[in-house]
Amino acid sequence: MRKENHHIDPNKVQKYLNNEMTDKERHLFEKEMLESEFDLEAMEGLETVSSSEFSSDLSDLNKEIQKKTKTAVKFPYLKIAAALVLIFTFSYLLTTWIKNNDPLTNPSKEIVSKEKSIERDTLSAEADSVSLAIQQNEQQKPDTSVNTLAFEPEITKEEQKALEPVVAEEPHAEAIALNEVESKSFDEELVATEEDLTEKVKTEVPQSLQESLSGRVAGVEVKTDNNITERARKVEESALEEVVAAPSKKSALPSVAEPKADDSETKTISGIVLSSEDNTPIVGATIIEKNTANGASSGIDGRFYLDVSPLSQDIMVSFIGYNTEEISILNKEEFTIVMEPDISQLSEIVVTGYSTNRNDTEVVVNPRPLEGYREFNKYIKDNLTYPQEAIKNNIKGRVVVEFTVTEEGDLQNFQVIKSLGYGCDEEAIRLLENGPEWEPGTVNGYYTDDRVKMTIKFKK
Amino acid sequence: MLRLISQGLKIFSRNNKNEFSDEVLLDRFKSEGSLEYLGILYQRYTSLVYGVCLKYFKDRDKSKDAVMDIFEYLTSSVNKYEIRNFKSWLHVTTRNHCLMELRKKSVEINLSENHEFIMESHTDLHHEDGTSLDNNIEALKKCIEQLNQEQKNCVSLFYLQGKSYQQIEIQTEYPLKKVKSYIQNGKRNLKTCIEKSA
Repeated sequence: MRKENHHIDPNKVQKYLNNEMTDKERHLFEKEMLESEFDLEAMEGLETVSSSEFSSDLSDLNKEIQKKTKTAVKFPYLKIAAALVLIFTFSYLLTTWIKNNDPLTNPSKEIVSKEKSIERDTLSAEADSVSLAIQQNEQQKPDTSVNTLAFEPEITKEEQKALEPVVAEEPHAEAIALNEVESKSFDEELVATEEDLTEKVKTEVPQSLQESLSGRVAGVEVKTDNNITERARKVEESALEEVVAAPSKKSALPSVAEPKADDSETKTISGIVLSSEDNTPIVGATIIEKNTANGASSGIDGRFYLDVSPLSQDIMVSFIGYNTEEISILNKEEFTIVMEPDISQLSEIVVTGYSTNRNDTEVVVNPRPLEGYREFNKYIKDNLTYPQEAIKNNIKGRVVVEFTVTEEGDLQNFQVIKSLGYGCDEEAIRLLENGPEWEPGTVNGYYTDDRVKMTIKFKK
Repeated sequence: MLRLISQGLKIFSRNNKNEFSDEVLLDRFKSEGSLEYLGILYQRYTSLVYGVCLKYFKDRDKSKDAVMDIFEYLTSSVNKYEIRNFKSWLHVTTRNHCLMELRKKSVEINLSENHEFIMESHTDLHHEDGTSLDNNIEALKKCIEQLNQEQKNCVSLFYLQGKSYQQIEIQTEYPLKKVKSYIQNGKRNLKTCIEKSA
């Protein structure tokens, strides 16, 4: 006989107290009561009152309890009503917005909204079955056109709170489909963030727009980003091309930029930036695709990733306090870049490369200052005059100038490869032109014209 | 569509709740916070709580108030403790509440009676119900022999002959309270005896 959770029957108690039972019934009842200490003690008390007193007191008590607990039941219905009103309002607003922006309408949206409100307010057991129904509805959505799907983000935004317990949160952003309407706002976003080189991964503006129209997204900040991904992911996986593009913020730790799915348009390079002093990683070094505004930063582990044009030849790696490195990226994807500490405080000359391609069997001697680089550097240091404009605007950095050293040793064809502006470019050229003589380069012993690239650092 | 769903949900929820076991009701209350569950659960035991309070307070109105006070107490305390057996836990809670109330007012309690029952409760709470006396008749008979006269009489009449307290009272001429006391103590002794022989 079960003792646990044996529920006393008030009717029996009444009868017992009223002596309405037979001896056998009494015995059985008594035996029952004996099994539980609680029953036993209770019977002791109950036997002090009459049957009618007992039943009246008990009904009073039960009524009171029901009064206290039934009120709780009403609330959910209030909540449902309130939520419904909210959703109706939002749906109305949405349909208005939709009509303004796009000829297509989304008739199934309202139904989905209503169903979602129920989802939120019912007990979890029921919610499971309802949410299943909703998901089935969602899966039918891929039949609708791309245009209508773009509006899912709006719904999601409003209902985020309502859906929180039900919708699983997806930390990793995935496929986002955009239509013409969305791309307009994207344009603005892309232009605005282009200037920020060190923190975000960028492809060129036209390129990313292209990609976004065909179903890809560059790592660009968009206000509705998170919302889009949560909803869009469920619906669009089956309907649209899948492309994985992650906002750069999400992968902040090891490296700021994440590689795109590889295709013919870009090439991904990666590497690690180390300090020559102790081979430790350099955090936050800037890696820039030469002649572009495309760059990345090295992460805590010194690693970086950068998507570059396949036509690019060089990257520039710089970090304050270290000499800037220009690295050729032809035929190579993985780099270990060792940076040397910058010992000069004021300005610096770095020979970064030579432009001509030579046959490996040729004996090539590159042009160099007649009196050597040490003298040359000294000259630059002594003669560099910081332009007024640059001082005023607190300009620091490097100017990269390329020029020809003719076989006579004349300097010609100055080209600013990397400009600093504010008069620095002009100052760099002036220094070189008026500077010490250059020894022309030779190929197999014969003097020849050659291009030389020099970096002049401007530091306060 | 909307109405169908909400109606269906209402029906679904109403019907089931009353059939939930104590554990389920308790769990639901803890996780969802809806007082309705606790109310359903408590109503199963209202008579018992009321009865125990009656025993201590000997006053109907005071006992009724106590029943409601204990319910209030439940709403906050169930979340604090892990309750394996709600019925036993409720019993202890009720008794503690009554004793505390009585101490506040320094009313005399009939202690001697309590002692017996308190001792009894220890055994009840510890033992699983499996050791029901009905099960092992042979061992039972042997152990009954070892009881003292009064206990033996009452226990035999009650358990073996299926007589009620009233009948036993008439037959043995022991006072009713004593009859109960003999039966309960005898039962406890038998339990220990049977367990020893098992």
